Amino acid sequence: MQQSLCLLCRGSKLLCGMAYCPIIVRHIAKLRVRNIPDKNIVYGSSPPSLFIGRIGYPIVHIGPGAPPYTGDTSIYDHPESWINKPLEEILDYRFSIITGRTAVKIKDIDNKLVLILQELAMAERPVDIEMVLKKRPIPRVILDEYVPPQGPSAPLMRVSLGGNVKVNRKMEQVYYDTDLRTYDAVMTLYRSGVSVSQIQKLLSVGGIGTLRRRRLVPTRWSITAIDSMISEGLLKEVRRFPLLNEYLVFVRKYMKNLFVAILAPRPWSYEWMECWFPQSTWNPTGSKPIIEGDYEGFKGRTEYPDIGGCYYASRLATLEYLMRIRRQATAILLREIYPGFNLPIGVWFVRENIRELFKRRPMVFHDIREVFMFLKKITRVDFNVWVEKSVLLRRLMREDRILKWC
Amino acid sequence: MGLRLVFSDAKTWKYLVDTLSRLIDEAAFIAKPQGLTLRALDPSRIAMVDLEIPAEAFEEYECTEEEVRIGVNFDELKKIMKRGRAKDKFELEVGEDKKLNVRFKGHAIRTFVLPLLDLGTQQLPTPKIPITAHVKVLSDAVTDALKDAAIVSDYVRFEANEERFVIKASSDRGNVEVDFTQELGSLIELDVKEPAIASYSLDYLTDMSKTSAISDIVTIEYASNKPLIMTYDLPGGGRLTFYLAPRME
Repeated sequence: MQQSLCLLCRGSKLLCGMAYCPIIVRHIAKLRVRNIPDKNIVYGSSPPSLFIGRIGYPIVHIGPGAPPYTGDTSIYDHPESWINKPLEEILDYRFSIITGRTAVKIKDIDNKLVLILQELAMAERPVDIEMVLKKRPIPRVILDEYVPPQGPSAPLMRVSLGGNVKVNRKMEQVYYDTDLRTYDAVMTLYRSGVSVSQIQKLLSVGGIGTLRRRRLVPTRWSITAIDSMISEGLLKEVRRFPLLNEYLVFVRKYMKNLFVAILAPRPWSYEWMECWFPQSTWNPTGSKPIIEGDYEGFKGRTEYPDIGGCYYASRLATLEYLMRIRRQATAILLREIYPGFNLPIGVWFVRENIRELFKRRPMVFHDIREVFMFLKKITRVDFNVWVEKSVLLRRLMREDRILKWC
Repeated sequence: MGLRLVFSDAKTWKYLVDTLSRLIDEAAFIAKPQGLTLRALDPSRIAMVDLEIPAEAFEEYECTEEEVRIGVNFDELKKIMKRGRAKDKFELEVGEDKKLNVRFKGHAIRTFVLPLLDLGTQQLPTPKIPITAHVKVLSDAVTDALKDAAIVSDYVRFEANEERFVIKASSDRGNVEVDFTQELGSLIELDVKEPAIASYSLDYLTDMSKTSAISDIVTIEYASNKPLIMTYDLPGGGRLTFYLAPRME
């Protein structure tokens, strides 16, 4: 890299080709870490935030999180509000949160700490909490492909919630309904407008489902469980809708990422494909782009897709759009990740970007060949390569329908 | 009383419904005094299934009406069929109440009642497909060949000429070639008027080939770049035919 680049850019233009400015992020990280209180007591407003680890399952580390100050921190743990914010800012929210943690058995949902976390999960607004930690939080940050970036943490002695917590009425209702099955509870919350990340928190602290089945669910697993469950629910309706009349193509470029959605006038089927360029997060040393993906037919799927949780996050956002237009379609979602986007930041990034993608005005085509010609100019990978790798695109382009022969 | 069908064992129907449920979402069996039929498209309309079972193939067959339509969701029906034991006696019944009774008689008489779906009365036409190659093969051999091909690709090429029938697959992962010859016994009949080469999606073929569990021989008919007709004779009489659109290169 040319040495004067940073001087010319100063974090404003991202001349180095990264999706964020590493110098600023390093600076923020240091600053936040320095802000860690000297004492073992953290007092601050929890957005609300809580974490359930997966290591050691079925004995997991759980705990609340809050930055060491009070105020309106609601955005700190609410991915639905992060889209179109600079990555530096999102990382800043995340690094600020200090998490206290204690080991608990997943079925031990009457545990005092669990009860506190359940109340926290239902809070509508940030809650002032006081955490007494065993030692000073370890100044480090954690990046994960599923879970949003995480700040420092330390073993927790006790936590208390300050004042009255205003809980969401709908969440409270399903929380106390111990005969309501998880799926029904999730759909009830979703339909009454509770955001995906809130539902996920309540699920992860064992706050929904029939009583015998309630347990702690590691944050990472609960994110995908919720995306998968809600999209399954929407799919039941979408399968009954009439077909789309034409081809719709959506394009969104954002932070070294390209998102493309192709909706075809065919019954429901869905494919999610990602192309990681060299020097992006999951292709750090390769010399050429790598494409991976997975798909499902009309009846959906029962096995976990190889590509992982983003498959469901994107499926959820896609079905939300089809619900809005009350049509079914064959949906092919493509993502290109360019060099410079090299931080794993969580599946929320996919979910929220696909939601944004479908807010745009689509291009309308009447023939798959027109779609092809259009996208040839959009994707950085030769579109023929996409077609080769995509089962559904090939189906659209190469397979005749049997009715033609009747 | 509208309709009552008895099959001596549930095995055939267990597999039949399992295969159909892989390809079809909802469809209606049509029972007439002379027999039972079903014709339906898969949701993506790339394939069509066509089932025909004559009245004689059943142990008992009573159809007092000119036509009884039995509209079902195949996922639901499959769940019920899974409960049946292969050796159970199997009955289908539609009474005045417009409900489908599915009954297994084994250690006990087990009856499942399903509401009939109203799926309209639209009839699908028979595809008119030119044929230059007619091949009869052991169905297990075809199923195996498709599994072989799946190692490298998600579609296969069928090549037939006067001497042989070959199933091929290739991709950057490698090549697979399965030769069927009369000497080895897997190829039973080969009648080729004009060499035929066509590609088909393995996704569909694999689902269709599940029928080999109840049918020993499959008839494959097609022409170059034209749809495939794959027919399985069912034990006791009747046949299950699949039509599959070709894959364009």
